[in-house]
Amino acid sequence: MYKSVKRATIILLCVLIGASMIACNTQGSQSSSTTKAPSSTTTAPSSTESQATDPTEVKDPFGKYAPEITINIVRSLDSSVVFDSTDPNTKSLEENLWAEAYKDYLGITFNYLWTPTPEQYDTKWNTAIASSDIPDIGVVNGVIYQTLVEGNLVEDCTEAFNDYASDIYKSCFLEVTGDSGVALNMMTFDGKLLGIPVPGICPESVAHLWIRKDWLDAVGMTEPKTIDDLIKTAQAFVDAELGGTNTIGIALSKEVGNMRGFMDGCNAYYNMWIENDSGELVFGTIQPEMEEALLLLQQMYRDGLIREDFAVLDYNTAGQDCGAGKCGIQYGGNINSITTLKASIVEDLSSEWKPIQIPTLDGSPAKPSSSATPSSFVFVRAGYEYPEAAVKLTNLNFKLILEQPVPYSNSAEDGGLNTNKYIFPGNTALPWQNLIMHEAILDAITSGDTSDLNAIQLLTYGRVVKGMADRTDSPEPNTTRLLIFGENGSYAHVKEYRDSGRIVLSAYQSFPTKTMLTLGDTLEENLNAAILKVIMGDNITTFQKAAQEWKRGGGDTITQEVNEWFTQSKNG
Amino acid sequence: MIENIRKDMSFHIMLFPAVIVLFIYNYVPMTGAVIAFLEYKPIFGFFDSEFVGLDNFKFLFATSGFMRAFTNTVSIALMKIITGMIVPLTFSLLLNEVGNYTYKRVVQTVIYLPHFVSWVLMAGIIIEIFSPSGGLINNILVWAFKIKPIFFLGSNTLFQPVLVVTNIWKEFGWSTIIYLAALAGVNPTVYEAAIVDGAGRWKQTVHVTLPGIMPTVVLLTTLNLGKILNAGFDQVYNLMSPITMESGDIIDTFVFRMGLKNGQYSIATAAGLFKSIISSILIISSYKLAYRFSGYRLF
Repeated sequence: MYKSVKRATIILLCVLIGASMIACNTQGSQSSSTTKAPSSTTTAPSSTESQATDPTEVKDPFGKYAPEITINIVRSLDSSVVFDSTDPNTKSLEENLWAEAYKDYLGITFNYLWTPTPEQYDTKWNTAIASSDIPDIGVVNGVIYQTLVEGNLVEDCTEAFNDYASDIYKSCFLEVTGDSGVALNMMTFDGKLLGIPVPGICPESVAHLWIRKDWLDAVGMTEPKTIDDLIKTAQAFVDAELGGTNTIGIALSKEVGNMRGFMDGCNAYYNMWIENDSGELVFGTIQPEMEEALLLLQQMYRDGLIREDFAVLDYNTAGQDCGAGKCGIQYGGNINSITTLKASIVEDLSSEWKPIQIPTLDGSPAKPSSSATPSSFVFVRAGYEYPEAAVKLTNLNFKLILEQPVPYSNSAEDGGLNTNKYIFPGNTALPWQNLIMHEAILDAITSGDTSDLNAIQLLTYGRVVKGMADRTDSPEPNTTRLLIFGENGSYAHVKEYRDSGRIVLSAYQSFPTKTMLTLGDTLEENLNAAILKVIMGDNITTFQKAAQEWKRGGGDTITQEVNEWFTQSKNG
Repeated sequence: MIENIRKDMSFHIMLFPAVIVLFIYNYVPMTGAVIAFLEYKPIFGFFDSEFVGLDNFKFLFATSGFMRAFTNTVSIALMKIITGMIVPLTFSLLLNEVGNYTYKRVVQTVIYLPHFVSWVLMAGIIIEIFSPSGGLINNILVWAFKIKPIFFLGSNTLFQPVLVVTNIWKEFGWSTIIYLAALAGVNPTVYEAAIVDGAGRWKQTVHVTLPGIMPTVVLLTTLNLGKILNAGFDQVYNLMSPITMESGDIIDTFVFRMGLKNGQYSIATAAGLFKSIISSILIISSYKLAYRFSGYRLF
């Protein structure tokens, strides 16, 4: 009898273990979407009748849906999206001030099918596409967007965008003040706009030379205007051991892309397509100008101005040398004062970092490279009845963020939660927002009148002013913002570049071609390896051979594909 | 046979849930290997993607980087397996000789700890330690031998040894513990018989200890041989840079770059399938060899 009790217990245990394992697995998986799909179709009958009753309906960019509709969407959630269950405004993904706004203004409720982490987001999309179970509206990257377009899964939104987009939304795609129409071009296939563009992209991300003014003063030199000046300056810094015995002249890393500040100054455009004299597109990395740039860098390495093992460091690790006060020069972007240089600005109050325009070979005004290619695309599932809903959502996002930034666009720095993160679809920002903020702040400083500033601008204005007044009074975030938005900050340079038309964009403005996708990365790695080796001392022939390899191993095919697009886009 | 099953029924039932999980998550996904023979696009799924036979494999072998990645993988993995056998074995033999019980336990725990540190973290530390401009190792070398600093992580000749050495440092603790357990299982009476026959410490080790733990050694080595084409993606990916790609690029990093970053599933799967086939051949051969040489059956 004891034996059978024992046997029964064992069997029961096994069953429990098995059941708990199965339960764990279903909890862990997030694609329990099949049961929720019907919800959008159930609302269809009632709403088509409300649309059909009024054929002369005014197309209102903010028109409310009555009765309300539920849209199936997905979004990624990471640690930056936080909720506070005690506050009804930020309670949860389904219950927050934005969800309220969508309901009250537009009559839209969201049904979140799945909410993966950013790392899993793309994979989940591929799975969803494979099982033909995609949401009604989605924001995806270029590769997935292309797959959707090829599979005819995207609804034509030409009318929806043209008729419903608010003026502000449309203004994001104009010349100069917008992204010059790049996004709309990329999403137009055979004259049809498949999806709606994500606003906010503009070619503002250019390279600057971040340098320490206090070190310049210490060696009695002025800001370098030519590459030659730059080399002499770095040499002076090293000779004077301003950063200790192992002072580094200029901080480089293995990420060749971050050397583009130097290369732009030599007219060598890394990883970009440029139009040559015969009207064809050629790959910037393998042009003769790059060889000159590499030889200059090689000389700098030989003279000990670059850290010996720079080729195994990533950009941020290399930047730590600047943060630690061992180096006084780094090529960076608009916000290095907040990233790699922050440690130095905060901890060493004698350090005076500033961004300057990148030096060129002959001292002429620099032409930095940038990109306006969007990385996200909003699409509407083919057959969905309300494509204009996506447009209306974006309209509302703009309206609330611009007119009522508190509370709709709080950020963590204001002490609250980042309510901006609850919006859909995606990040809604005006292009050149940072540049506009910079201009507004400067205006307010000269006129003393801050009434025109919106909340975010006012906040940054306060920081810039404090940063100008007293360095020792909490340098972060005041000094760091001053260096970005102040009179001589990075955006002052961006403005100058933009207004004088000196920003260079890649001439190829479409999705990666077939060969770019299969061989692009490998080819690029080989070129990068050659570039780094030449800088470290190899003969320039190493680079030339690598350029030939690039062409032979697929680069010529890519060039062909790129030029096919180019001719087509010029004629079409 | 049915009788045997009935006799061990309770064991079978205990194993049953694990077998189900194994079946669902390890065996069923194997059917995905078919992607290697398709031009797979997620949107078309398994059945509608175009069948291209061996084209993916041909593409892989034609790509110059692949064969290089393959040779690197084999050489790195071989070095790791050999050192992975010798170092823990020696260390466990030495540790076994130590009399102080507490000391033994402390050492065991301490050497086991690096196993838990992720390579992402380790890579940052290793880069600093091996740096030619102020790294610890070079400081010692320059002070002791008066030579110029060596750029370990930038040299194609030294990169693989650095990989192997740092990997051993991180992982030998795990194998040591297993060998220590095996050592404890050697029959003490055989030792006594050896002492009676006049064997000293060393002779005892060679004639009693080593043969005694040979089954464990063979088992571990055989299992590791099956993983020969793994070579450690985490470690290599974090320590590699464009200039050490020649010696550092392994199949996994190559496939990662080429296949997974751009969604080229077919190529990635083809490479994975290739690895699996080679691993299977190796496991089967080593199993047969183990049987031939030590008369030891694994299964």
